[in-house]
Amino acid sequence: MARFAGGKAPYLRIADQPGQGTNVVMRDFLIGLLPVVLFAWYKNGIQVYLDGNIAIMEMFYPFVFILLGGLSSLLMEGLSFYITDKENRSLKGLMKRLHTSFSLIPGLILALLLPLYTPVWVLLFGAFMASIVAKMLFGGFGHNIFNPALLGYLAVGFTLSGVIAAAGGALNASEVLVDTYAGATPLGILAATKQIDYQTLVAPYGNLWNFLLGTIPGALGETGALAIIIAYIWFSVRKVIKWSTPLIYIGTVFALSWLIGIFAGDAGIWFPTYSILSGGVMFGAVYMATEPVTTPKNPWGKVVFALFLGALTVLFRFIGNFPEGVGTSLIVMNMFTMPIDNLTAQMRSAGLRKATFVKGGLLVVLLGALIAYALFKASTIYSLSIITRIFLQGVM
Amino acid sequence: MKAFFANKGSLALLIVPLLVIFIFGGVYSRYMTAQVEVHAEEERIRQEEEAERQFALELMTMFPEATEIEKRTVASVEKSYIIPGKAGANPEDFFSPIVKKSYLVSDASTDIGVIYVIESHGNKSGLVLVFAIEFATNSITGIQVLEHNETDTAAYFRKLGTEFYAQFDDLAFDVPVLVVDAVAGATYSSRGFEIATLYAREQYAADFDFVIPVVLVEANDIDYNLDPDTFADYPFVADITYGTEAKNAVVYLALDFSFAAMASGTDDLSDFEKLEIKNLASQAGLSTLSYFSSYDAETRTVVMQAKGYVTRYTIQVTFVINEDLTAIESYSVLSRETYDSEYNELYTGPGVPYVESKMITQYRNGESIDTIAGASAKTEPAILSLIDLFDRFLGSLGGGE
Repeated sequence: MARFAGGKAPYLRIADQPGQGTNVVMRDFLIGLLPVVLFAWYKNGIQVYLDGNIAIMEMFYPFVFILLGGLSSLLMEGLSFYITDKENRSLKGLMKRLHTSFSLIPGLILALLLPLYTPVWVLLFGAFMASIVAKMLFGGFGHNIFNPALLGYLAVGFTLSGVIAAAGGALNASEVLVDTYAGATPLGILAATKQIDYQTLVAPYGNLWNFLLGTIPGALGETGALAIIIAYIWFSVRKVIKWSTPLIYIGTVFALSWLIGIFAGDAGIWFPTYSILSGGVMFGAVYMATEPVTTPKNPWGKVVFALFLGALTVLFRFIGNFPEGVGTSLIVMNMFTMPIDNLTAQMRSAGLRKATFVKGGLLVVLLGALIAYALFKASTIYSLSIITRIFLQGVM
Repeated sequence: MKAFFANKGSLALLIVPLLVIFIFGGVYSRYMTAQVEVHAEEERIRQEEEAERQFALELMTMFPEATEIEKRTVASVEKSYIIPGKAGANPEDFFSPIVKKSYLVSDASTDIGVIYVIESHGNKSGLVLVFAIEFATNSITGIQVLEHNETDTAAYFRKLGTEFYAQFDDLAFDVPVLVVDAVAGATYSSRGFEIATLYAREQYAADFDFVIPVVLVEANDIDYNLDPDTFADYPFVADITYGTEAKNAVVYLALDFSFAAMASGTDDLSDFEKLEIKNLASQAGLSTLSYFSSYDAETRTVVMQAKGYVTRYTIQVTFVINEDLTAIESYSVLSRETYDSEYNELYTGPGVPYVESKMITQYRNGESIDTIAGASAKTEPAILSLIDLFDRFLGSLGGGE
């Protein structure tokens, strides 16, 4: 049942109250980015420097790279405003517009999604795709359909991943020295071997605690699960995000991964844990699946969004050609934000009626079909690998 | 200018930092990428150094009391040896061993030894051996095979077992003749070890002022023993001058050229001098394929043996010499040669002892001795050797054909 404000009129919008507006939310969001930014810098710069594997100039690079991402976005949006709004070309006017556009954020998040050795011109290209194409061309903040940082990330990933790999890739100077890593991220190993095996997927990186702490190879911001959890707690306390969305999304990925593990012959809890702690699941759950513009606004919509997002992540990750799956599933779900919002809003306002059950049933059937397909396909692939492994062990 | 900045100042404020990011960031990220290569090279060097360190530590265990090991450079030593199995007739038949690495080994207070890693040549090139040499005793305290390209089977290189390697334990350098006993079936490999050992000693002498003792033996004449009273026991005889006092002696040698007995002179030869005599005799070009068994002066019958294809049995030839002691009166051959086996069924002539008889008959008749097609590998050299020896003997009796 829909909720309405109680008491007597006139009513004041919470967002208009001091300490409650969008500016405050975005400030809190930036604060929430700090643990991940600092961890990314520590893991890829400070710690590596302390290990004696890089020079001091290299130590600052991760932090500078992230800042450059944010600054690039800011400047590009500024240019966009300068070109499109002839009335506000003064510095003051531009600053005002940039301030309300939260233009730093796409670039910051984009930088956190990219590998350490991404060339800066690639970062600029990604920032352009994020800030200009995904955001400004749609009308700016509040009007964009796709998560800007995500679109920039996917544009870079689909077109320039080879350039990034040639420039040095994701492993920092300490990680390349670890023989067991063999130059690959945990998800890269899964994609290459198609084997659900602890010794193959987790043991080369130590144990699952390392996955939680984030001391495993990966993009700058995505590995620091613990830092992301801290940010999640901050966001939830500050009500920047709906606390349940990340949990539902991560829970869905966890449950489906567990089922896939079981089908593949390994029911260990390690595999779903590995699944949610590798790649961008945690980062996507906290920073992108909760993004206020490109995800549903009503609570039911958020639930539906998170469930489908989880199912799609599993589908893309375990069956698709790319090892990740989070970015692709998020961008797909961004397209369905509006229909989900509308549908769930109608259901919510209609209450417990036949039409609600029909629409809800339709969503459940759709979700069930998606999950069933994902499980079927994944179990086929990974069961086959088990059989192959047993066969090979028998032969050898 | 002021008007320009009033209108375009904010544009410049947007574009200039973007350009700065592009240029500065580009340089920075290029630097980072370049550093990846630098770190990879640093890591490669570090790993090499670590591997070298581990290698040195492993070698240090050859000296149980050692606490430190340090890489060192070696003096230049020009020394070449005949490649095992080669005749030494051509320059290509020779090679020079290489000292690949050398380490100085110390205990808590002093240097105690040296380690040489030497590449020698066995049956094939690339026989790399490690020698640990102790300063206190000037002797080898340990040897290791680091690499080799020998035929690594039980029939060949693996025949070099514990007994073979044991001869290197405490093998002293301060002896005149350094000998490594070869193992049958792995003779070339054994020789490769011997050459490496000899070279290690040369290197050690060059590096640490060690003086290699020498044996003063000079061969005045080394020949077949044609004295019918002794030739059955001593096939060879050597006239030598030996020692610092240049003594003269005549010694009998066995079929393998080893010292057998004194013919004249005082028996005060040292073992090393005897070994040197053997060494000199083995280089004198004498054949060991044939030898005398007996001689009966009354019947003028001489019995000789020759080693042909069948190693288990010798070819026995009995000559009866004429009364003038100038020619063969008659002869008989007792042979178990198997031409068919020897020549892989290429031999098509009459049966044994056709080859032996034909050659001896040609010799008796003063004809040139023909090579017999299909029988030239073993039987023919054996009989040629026997005829040559008999001819010498006949000449010593006063005639010859």
